Amino acid sequence: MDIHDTGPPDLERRFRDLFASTYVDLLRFVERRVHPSHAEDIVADAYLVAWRRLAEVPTDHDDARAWLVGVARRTVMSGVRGEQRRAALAVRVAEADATSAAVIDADLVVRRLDLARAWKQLSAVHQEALALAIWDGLDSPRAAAVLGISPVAYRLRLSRGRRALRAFAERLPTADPATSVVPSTRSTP
Amino acid sequence: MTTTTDLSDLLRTLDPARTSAPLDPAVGARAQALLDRTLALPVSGAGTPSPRRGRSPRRLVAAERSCAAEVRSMRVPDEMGPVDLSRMMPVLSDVRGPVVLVYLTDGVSELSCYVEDGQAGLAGSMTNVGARPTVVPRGSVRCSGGSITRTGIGMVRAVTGTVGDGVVSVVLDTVAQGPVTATVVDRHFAAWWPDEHVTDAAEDRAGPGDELRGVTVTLRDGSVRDVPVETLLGQ
Repeated sequence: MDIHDTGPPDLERRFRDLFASTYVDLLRFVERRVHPSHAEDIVADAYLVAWRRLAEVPTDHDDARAWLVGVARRTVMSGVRGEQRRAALAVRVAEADATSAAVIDADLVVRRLDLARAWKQLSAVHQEALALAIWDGLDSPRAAAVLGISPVAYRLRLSRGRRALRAFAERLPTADPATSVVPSTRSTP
Repeated sequence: MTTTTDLSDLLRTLDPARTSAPLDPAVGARAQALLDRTLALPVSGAGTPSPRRGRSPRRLVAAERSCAAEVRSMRVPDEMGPVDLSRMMPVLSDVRGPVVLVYLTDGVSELSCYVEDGQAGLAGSMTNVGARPTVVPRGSVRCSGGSITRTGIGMVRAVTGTVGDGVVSVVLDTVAQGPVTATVVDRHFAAWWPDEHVTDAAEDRAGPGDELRGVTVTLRDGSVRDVPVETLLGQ
């Protein structure tokens, strides 16, 4: 036995396929949660876990992607404890740039600004539920598996998150792209 | 913004993730480097005697609970001074065949616990009580505990300890089994291996570190370095 032994060819081939088909999605998942300078380190840790536990990685592509997302999520949280752990779940939102050349519809600009501000008032739990569905494209059973909850509980959480986001957005004063109103309330899971 | 579809469509335009396919060449090069160095590491069960995470999380959870209960019921000799056993938490668990090894620590002192058929037994002495936490240099590894115990698969040895920043893999060159891949979790490592040659007489003759010939660590950047046994033992 040599310490430089690696896995058999079929394991290596499987890991290469897994890596190629999930890398961008996994990096994007992490980029929404941590500083960009740390994202690739988190992804590296997640793939190391996957390589070591390849037998446990589901063979279905979407299941495997959700499995990796779950590993990356736990890696993000592993360094924090207590109240900080809740904050670590928070998902960022892109800054809605009112001057973006790509956005020429004034009404759309205002709605994006409102939505971005409303997002920041959501609880981290609701942000996670929405992000998994809309940005990661996970269905309810897989998103629930990532969070370690039942699909029913996830759908409830998602529904409440949507409702809270809509309520926050509609409650905001008419958006002036140059101003920022930050109410003190946040949604509660 | 009245319908769920509207809300979802608008939110999609606010995705903060930057990376997209096809990858930017620089990101693509880093991804390829990550793939190469991950594949360069031994995969569990494929080449070296590697403690493996169990396929059944329930089994691990049950083992950790059994060990935590065992620790709480442990009697600490008065001469060791006050020890808060409730702070001893499992940080790493591994399955090999019928045996689960659970490594517990409160950040300073530590214990190894073996679970077979649901029965937990503590092994090794409670080390480092009252000591200050050890700071392990980046890229290095430090052994802080060891034990020998009889299990259903025979005598086994275990070593546990801490790794420094950047260490992603630890391979111990053992006298009994050759290369043994340790499990590294949250800066802790544990490795254990069968050693059928353990006898009281042999142990009496043995010096610190006689069961190991060396250690090889792999860093996150893919580089590999050898760590002398003396460094591993903090000598």
